[in-house]
Amino acid sequence: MTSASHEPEVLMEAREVVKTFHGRTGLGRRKADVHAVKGVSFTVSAGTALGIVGESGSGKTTVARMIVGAETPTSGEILIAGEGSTARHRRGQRLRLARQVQMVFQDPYTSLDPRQSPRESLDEVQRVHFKRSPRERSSRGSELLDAVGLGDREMRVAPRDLSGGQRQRAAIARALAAEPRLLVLDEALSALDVSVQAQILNLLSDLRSQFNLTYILISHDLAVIRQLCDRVLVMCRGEEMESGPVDAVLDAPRHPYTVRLLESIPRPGMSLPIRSAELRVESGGNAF
Amino acid sequence: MTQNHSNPELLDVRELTIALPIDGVLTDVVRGVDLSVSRGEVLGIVGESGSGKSLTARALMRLAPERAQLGGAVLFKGNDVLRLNKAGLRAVRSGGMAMVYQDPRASINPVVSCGAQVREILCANRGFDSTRARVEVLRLLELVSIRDPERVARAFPMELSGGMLQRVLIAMALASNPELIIADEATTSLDVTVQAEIVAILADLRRDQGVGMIFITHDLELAAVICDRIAVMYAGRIVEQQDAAGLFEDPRHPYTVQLLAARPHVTHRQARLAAIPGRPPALAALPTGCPFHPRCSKATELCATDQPPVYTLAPGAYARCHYAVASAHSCVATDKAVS
Repeated sequence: MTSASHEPEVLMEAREVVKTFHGRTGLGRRKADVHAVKGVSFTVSAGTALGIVGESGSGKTTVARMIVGAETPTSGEILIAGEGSTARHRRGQRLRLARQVQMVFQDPYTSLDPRQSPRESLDEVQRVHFKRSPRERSSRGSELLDAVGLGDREMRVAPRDLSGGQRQRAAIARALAAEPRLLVLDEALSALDVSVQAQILNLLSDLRSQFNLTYILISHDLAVIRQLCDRVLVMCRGEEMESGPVDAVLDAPRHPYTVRLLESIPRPGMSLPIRSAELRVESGGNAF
Repeated sequence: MTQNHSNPELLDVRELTIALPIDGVLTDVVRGVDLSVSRGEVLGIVGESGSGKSLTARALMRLAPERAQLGGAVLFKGNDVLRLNKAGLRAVRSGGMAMVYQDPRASINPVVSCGAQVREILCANRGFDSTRARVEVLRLLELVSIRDPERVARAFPMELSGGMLQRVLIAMALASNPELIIADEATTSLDVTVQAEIVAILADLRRDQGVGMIFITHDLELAAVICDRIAVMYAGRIVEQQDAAGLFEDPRHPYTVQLLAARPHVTHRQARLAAIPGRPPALAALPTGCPFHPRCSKATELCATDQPPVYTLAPGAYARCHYAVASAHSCVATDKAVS
């Protein structure tokens, strides 16, 4: 219910985005092309949170990677603050995008430089993006680490000495250091324990109001989406199944796939699927 | 194997302790765990990472790391697995208990076809000749809801999805005709729709074949779907055990209460999640008294100094908390908690 009360500015727009990974030829075998994303369109207004939900192979991570510029759409375009994202080869363009969009990855164990303490890591991001004195960088770094709830000790140690939750806080602080408007969280809460996940979810809602952030949260967990997002996009096999306000979609899903996702969530007293349940379709002989 | 008839349980774990060297100091990481599983019963072990649940599971088959020191007893059909000789241990591992791990891709041989891997177990453990084994492989694959067993038997692991592979691993576990299956986060890496199917398969095996099961997960809701009883672990100890319904309706240990409250709900948005403050303690430096007291919303001075005793709530149900006798819900309402 936090959608902007003023005129809603569209911060991010995907127009008919398609991503096809071309099959590699190797050992004389030619693999079929993989159509990861098959024409998806959506917009995200500034200050809102969009959840993208789907199972493995739904294309949700590919969408996230295209938003941050890690992949280029095969066709269609992604606009961030009205600016196209087609070819971002020049450093200046990449830096400009990084000031708009930052990403937090699923695995806090591999997304941080193992040799950098959270404090050093924030310092580096600021050196790249801002003309600040060491003193300014240090005090801004402390502010951010404080905002995500990392203490003095945790700021100075290597990531291996931090718990999973602390590392994810460090990764969020690092993303915020570039002062982006849009934060893309790709399964950023999935690897965390329940007790820590709740802490990070609360933190994300605090940061959102504090820094007026816009979120795109990629997740397979509908409960997490309900907690943090205003709108949701349900994807399956590279296509949009349905989208709309979170409460509308989760309370009254219209697409059978959304219904099935909701019914599969474990809860006390749930009825298990009948054994002859429709087996997952496997593309004949090929892994995907 | 001799059967001890005074003991009707399939598995009876008594005071299991596991000590591992952490930074050179031998540290108890599992501290006096008691468990029991009867035939056809599903016991859930729930806990966050580092609670000792996976290590406990491995110790049941004596698969804990070599440098671990194990104490207590793991009685499987009356025989102590921790004291079996090589032949006895082999018998338990190849016909008594079977384990299904979290990541199917990490626990299957990538260069041997799925069918051949199931067949190998049938021939090595149950003396099948290769013709009978081929037939049995297809039956087992069908049993785990694989619709086209011939294709899957021929397939290599890389050609199958994670959900399909996990079914193959369950079929491999069943190939040795076990009496107890230990599923260690067996559905965690799977999509929810696939998870629901795998859980349904496991539930059927228990019902139709009377297989006992230990279902290890960090997901309390998932445990409630399949388990008869649930043990909640924290810092290497079982802090509460109840039948699944009781645990949800009337959790007695504050950790269980707070764990249940911390989960976001798919049905509604909460203004703020009731996050558990802090993080699980390092096992090498456990706090004095109750290990949960620094994070507990109801902790008093007593909790900081004295280890809580075990309060029996009902036969087979207990909680390790100074205030477990009163219902946890009513305590939250009436106590002015020291935070």
